[in-house]
Parts: sequence; C-alpha cells; structure tokens
Amino acid sequence: MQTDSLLAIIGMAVVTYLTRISGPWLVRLVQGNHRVEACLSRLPGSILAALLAPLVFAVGSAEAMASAITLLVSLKFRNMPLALIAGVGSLVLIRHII
Amino acid sequence: MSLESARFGAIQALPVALSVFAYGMVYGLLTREADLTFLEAILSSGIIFAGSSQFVALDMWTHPLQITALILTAFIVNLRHVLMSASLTPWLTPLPRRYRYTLLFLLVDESWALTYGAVHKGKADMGFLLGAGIMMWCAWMGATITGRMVGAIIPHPEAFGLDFAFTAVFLALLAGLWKGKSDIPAWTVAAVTALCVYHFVPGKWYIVAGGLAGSLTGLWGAHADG
Repeated sequence: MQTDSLLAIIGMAVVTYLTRISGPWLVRLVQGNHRVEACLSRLPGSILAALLAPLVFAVGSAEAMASAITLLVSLKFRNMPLALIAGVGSLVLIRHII
Repeated sequence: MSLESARFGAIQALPVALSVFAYGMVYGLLTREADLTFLEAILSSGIIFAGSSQFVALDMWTHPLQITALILTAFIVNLRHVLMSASLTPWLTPLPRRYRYTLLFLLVDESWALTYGAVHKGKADMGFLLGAGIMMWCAWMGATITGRMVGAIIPHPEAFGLDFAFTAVFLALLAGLWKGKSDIPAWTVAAVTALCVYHFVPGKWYIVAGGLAGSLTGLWGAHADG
C-alpha cells in the first residue's frame, strides 16, 4: 500500500468523522435562541424530504407509484415491515406490468 | 443506552442492511477497476464508512493521487452528517463523551433515519444507533469484501426491488414523523429545493440544501408564536 493512498484514505476518514461529531457542537453554539430551535425541530423531516425527493420524483414512474403506495401504507398502518413489503412488492409488480 | 435498544436497532436495520449490501458489492467490484489494492478497499470501507463519498473517490482515484481534492470532496459530500447529528443532540448530550464519540462514528444516512424515528417516538434509546450502526458497518464491510473477491454481481438487484428498500424505509420514517398540516410547508420547501439542487449541482448537496431550506420555514412559526 502506497503512502499517498494511505494518507488520502485516512484524511477522508478524519473529515467524514468530523462531520459526524460536529452536529451537537453546532447546536450548542446557538442554544437558547428560540428561532433556531424552531428551525431545528423541522430539520429531521426536512432532511428526510430532501433526501427522498429525487428518489421519488426523478427516478421513474414505477418508483413514483411504488412510493405513493408505500407512503399510504405507512400512514395507515404505521408498521415498518409492512410498508417495506408493500413498497418493494408493488415496485416489482409495477415493473413487471409496465 | 440499553442493550435492548441495540438489539432492536440491529433487527430494525436488517432489511436496509440488505440493500446496503447490494450496493456495497458494487463498490467492492469497482475498487478493482479503479486500481485500489485489496487493503485500500477494505480500509476505505472500514474507516471512511460513507458510501457516496467512497464512490466519488473512485472516480478521482488516478495516480498520483490528488490527496487534498479527495479529502475536500469527502468533506463536502458528507456535510449532511452535520445536520443529522445535530438532530440527535437532545439524546446525545446526556451520554458520556466517549460513548457519544464512539456512537457517532456509526452515523450514516440509514442508521440516522432509523434511530431518529425510533428515539423520537420513545420506542428506544441511543443504544438503537449502536445496533443499527453496527449492522450497517458489517453489511458495508462484508459487501465490499464479497464484491471485491467474487467479482460476481448480483445479476440485477433491481429485479428484486432491493434498490427500492432504501426509499421505502425512508418513506415509512417520514410518514412516522407526520404530526399534521403544519409539517407541509417545511417538507414541501425541502423537497422542491432538493429537486432543483439535484438537477443542477452534482453530489449530495441537495440533501444539505433541502434540509436547511425546509428547516428555515421554522422562522415563520417562531414569529407567529412570539
């Protein structure tokens, strides 16, 4: 293994780890500010929505349909394994039909 | 932190681990084409443990290595982890530092989302992140090694809908966060921003941009209440 490879991998690992541990530190910096806290409370849902948007709307129509089914099943039954089965199952089915 | 939560986390993470395994195999395969040695492939998955940044790095892996560019890219691609660990702060700060810093190594998109969903609803404590995170790490490492060694591919992961497991899990988690109509503005702003950024900017910036944009809608609410 070459030194430059080792350096690159370790460097990448270090900065990645830094992003993982710096959230709580960042929050401490802005503690006590009600506006910031109101924003923070919306952060998790927003991250999820942002992460999902391209997966749902920019992959294909089969994925978009299966996403709608997954969402409906999740909202109705609040059961993760069931939602997974409904999502993956309906996608396979829709791909088969289309 | 409890052992039950860790066990619960590991079990809940199992279906997602399958889809992680599928694209981890692809990573393992590609490391050979990108001329990483076996040791480099294992080390990257073991200590970086962040799929998207590892895939991007493979693209840039031409000797002599541009070490600074690789490190900077990994940092940018993984900036979303800052937001994710920030959202776990209420449950992280009571923990002793050494636990907190060990746990956070295990924070990836999947383990974060599952953990937030579980602790937010009071179904588990931060042990969940330990169980789910270890499950993800094992899947990622196992897949890297398997992909690298056999060189055989899961013929078409999409035929089993495996690639969709990731999306389905995140959708179910989002549904679980639903509190009422007041969530609509934040989620809509987040999704629309993410789609725009996704179309125009390469990489994972859309998660950071969408997450920030959505959370900024909190300013309205705070204003109305105050």
